[in-house]
Amino acid sequence: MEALQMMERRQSKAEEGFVRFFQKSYHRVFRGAFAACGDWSVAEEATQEAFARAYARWRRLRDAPWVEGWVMTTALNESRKLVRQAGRTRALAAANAIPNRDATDFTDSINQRDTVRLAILDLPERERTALILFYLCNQSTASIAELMGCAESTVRSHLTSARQGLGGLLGAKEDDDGYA
Amino acid sequence: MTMDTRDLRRLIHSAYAEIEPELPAADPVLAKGRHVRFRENFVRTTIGLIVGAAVLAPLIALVSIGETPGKVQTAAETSTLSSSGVSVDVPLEWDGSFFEVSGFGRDVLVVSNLTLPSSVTESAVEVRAPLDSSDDVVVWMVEYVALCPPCDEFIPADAPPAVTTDALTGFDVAGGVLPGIEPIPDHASTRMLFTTEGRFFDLRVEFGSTPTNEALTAVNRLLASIRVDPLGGQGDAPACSSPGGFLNSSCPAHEWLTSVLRAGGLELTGDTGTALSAANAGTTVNAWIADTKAAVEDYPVWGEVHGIRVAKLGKDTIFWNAVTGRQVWIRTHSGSLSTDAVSKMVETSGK
Repeated sequence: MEALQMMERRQSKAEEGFVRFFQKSYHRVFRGAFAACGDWSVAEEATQEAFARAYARWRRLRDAPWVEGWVMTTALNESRKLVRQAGRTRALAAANAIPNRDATDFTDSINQRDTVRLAILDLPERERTALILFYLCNQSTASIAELMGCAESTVRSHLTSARQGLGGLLGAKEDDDGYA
Repeated sequence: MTMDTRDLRRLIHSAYAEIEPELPAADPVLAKGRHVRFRENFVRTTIGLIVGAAVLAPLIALVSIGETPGKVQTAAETSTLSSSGVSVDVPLEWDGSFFEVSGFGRDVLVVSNLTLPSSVTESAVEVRAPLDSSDDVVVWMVEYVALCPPCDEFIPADAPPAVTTDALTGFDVAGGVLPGIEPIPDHASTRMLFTTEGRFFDLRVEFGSTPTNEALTAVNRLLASIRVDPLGGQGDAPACSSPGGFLNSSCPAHEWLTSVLRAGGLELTGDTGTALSAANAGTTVNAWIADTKAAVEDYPVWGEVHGIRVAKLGKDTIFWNAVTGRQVWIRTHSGSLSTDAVSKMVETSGK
């Protein structure tokens, strides 16, 4: 009886652990998915699918240091798939893509944010994924290499190209030494 | 505008700072997760079946035309585990062991595709609890060496019956003889009582959730490999120091248990090979001394006699720890024992 209660506590602890992880990481993963597709509803769907898949494997994933990176990569892949499936063109990071934004606010800061997001959406898929994981999700190049299934040097190369791609719009300069 | 990595990171973060989605409830995600697990297992099984059929079909065809008889190897690599005349072929990637558990059975056979703990209680909850997916399974089997015979509810069979999806309805109270086992939510389980070679087995199978066909096949292959030999030396007088030593009329424990039964008005009528039989008018019982002790406090209370707790197992079996350090078990097969008779037996067992 006692053992059963212990087991129930362990099970509900595991579920609680997942819920805590979900609550802590949801916003970051959503932002990553949104950055990848520029569509609020697609990002929502992809993020929830990624977390559901993580829960399906929670026993194996929960102790992994890269679990959030795994969910993020899954969400990014899922969002790309959803965009392709629906034949959607990216709705872009414009005012109407973000709920609750004041559509009459055209201040410089908003324009700049939209510009950055559009520039990211213009990047090739692999470069965009590497950039989002590195800059937005703070993953190391080694983790990204593992998550994307490529060499670390390839990740660095994607990041350099992505920075070059953004450079035209943002004036960013090359800074190879800055990669963690 | 030029920028370094830090500046770019800050710029990108600020570009998404206003992206503040409402945090959805976790429950639908958990439910979807369970569905994903089911979906993935289904796909895996389907692929397995297709690949299996593709590989096996040509092999079967070859065998059928007699070109390569005896070369088809479909069974997984196994190792044989055996104890007390019971053996089973355990797949190499699985784990199996015989555990000493309770006071009314022989060592419990436990086999799982998860790693087993170092010890297991009678309900095997330590092994059952970690079962998570439809591929996770534990099989455990108790042999009742004192409780039966007679155990009329046990189905005669050469080997354990195969498990089917329909049979996975839970651990019911077994024929009123044995207690049920606490269910674990979402798990799929079944229990089979069978007798072979004059021996009585209570077999339980539990999956983390409704099993895939692949998991069922693996378990049924395991069950089909269970072999039971008749117990050797039955009828020989056991040594006083052996677990069944009380059956030997020249052993002190035999006299002691006989005097306990007499105190309850019961006279010896023989033994079953594993327990003493006794009777009084319409009441017949089996009685034995446990070689290992079940935790009396873990079982429902039948009553208390002079501060000694008497526990019950199912509706017909009671047991208690005698002051002498022995554990006495009595199972009623017909009629009933009066409270007074039990009180006198408990009292005598303390002398």
